[in-house]
Amino acid sequence: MSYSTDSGGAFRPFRQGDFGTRRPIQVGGQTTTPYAKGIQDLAYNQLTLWAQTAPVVVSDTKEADVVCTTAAVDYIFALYYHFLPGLLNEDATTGRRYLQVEVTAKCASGRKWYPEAQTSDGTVADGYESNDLGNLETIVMEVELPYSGLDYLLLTMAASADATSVEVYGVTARVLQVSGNLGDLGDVAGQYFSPVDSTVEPTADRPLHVQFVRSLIGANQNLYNRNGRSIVSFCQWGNWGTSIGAGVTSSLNIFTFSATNINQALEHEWVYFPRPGVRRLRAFCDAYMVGWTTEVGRLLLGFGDMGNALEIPVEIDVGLKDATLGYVPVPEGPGPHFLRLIRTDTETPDIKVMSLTIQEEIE
Amino acid sequence: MTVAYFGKNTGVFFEDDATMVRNGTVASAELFSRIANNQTWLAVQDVDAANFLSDTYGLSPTSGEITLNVMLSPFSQYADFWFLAIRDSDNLAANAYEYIEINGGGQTQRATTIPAGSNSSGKTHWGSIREARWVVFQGTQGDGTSNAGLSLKLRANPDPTWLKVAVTVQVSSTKVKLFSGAYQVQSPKGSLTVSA
Repeated sequence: MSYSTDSGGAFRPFRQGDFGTRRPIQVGGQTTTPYAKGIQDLAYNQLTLWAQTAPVVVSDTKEADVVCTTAAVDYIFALYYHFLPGLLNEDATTGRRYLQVEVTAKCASGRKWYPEAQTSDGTVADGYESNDLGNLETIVMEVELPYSGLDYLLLTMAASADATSVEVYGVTARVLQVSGNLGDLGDVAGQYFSPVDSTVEPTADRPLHVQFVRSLIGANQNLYNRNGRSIVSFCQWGNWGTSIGAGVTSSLNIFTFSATNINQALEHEWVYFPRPGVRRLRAFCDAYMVGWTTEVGRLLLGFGDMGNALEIPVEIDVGLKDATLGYVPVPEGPGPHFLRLIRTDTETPDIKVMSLTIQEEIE
Repeated sequence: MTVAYFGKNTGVFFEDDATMVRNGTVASAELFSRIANNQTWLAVQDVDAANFLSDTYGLSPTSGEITLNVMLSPFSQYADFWFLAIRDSDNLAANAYEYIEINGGGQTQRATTIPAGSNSSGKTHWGSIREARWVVFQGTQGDGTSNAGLSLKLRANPDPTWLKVAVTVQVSSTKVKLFSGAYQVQSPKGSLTVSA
């Protein structure tokens, strides 16, 4: 049996009757018994599912200039908050979960840009560089996830010459379940995920192993539980080192809520396509009041379309600099549902949102 | 929309009780059938979706530089796109054919049904952001490239593999503004093609 861990791994769908009650259970897979699925196909699919699915963590597009003042200096230009479980198997030395991060950007011809990705335990993916043709280019980086799980993803940008403006257009990050061969994970006590291996793999002269069946069941459940979807993952792109705190008037932000368009902000609306079993969303909002002195602003995040009242929103109080975590209950029904962020206070200063993450919470 | 496989509605992922599997228990076809159905649901129904664009002031990407990637599930071919958008309300007749364009998988779809802001007779109009509405690329009739604002066909034929596809977004001119954008891969319709 071959484990499908390469990029071309195919899923073997099942048909009615493949495991019918009037048919003997086939041990061999479709490769040994054409046109009849067997339990070896289940093992193959288990590994293929884990190796090939790559749920999205960050999907963010816009247009922003990241000015790299001094050559070869790393400037923090994006900070995404996202919460992900840790490694599949904390004892494994290979085959760890990792993030595949793509940055799409360009700068003036004759110059290069150098992105880096860093996860919340300090693991850095570096050594990536663009061409110097001045055209739009997507660089794909891979960075391992921390043992303890991911809290945030930090991106930096450097350039080959002083005063280089790097135009960034897209950041995408997906979590990949393994970086090596799934078979290398082996069988380790206490692991979250049990890839079926040769010691329990069914053969014609061996009774079906209980561990094998439990592995198949647990793998499905784990895959569903661990792949909660990211719904919104936006942050400002620019120099994060100078853009927060009292008195800031920088335009670096993803959303501005001025005092004059309170509660009219229909543009801060997003779509949620619900998945079964998800009852609430986890939201993280990093915002501040421009030129803050003592005012407290208030944002509400909840479900509700186009001017309708929000259903049980989460409240976000905004001051000098705030980072708020809350939970938004998911409405019943098939969806799509509409998420909105609105401002409800009457203070004078603008509220600027630096980062917003909304992800599924699967319990 | 959920898809029925094997005559069953497998739109809902269901759990199995692993504790039921014990030494000495006779392995049942039903047990493996449930595992197989769960695998199929995870593979083809738990599709990729995300919001990918958000801009307070409205974005008019006219040169196709907005790039994202979409992960197709096995046997899936299409993705739906949603844009919270508005069209310049001044000189509506001249601006009637402004469009949003998405490109990917060698196909192009354009939607010209972009709501205009109301006129400038005292109401909120272009320049304000109050009247943006959702423009949806949905439906597969006609297939492929069109100006009908259909789902984007990202893979020519059903295939049992996962596939990451780049998609670009642009608008016809600065008379169109985008405030939000989202996508969802369509789970495959009908039975799955089986290769022996």
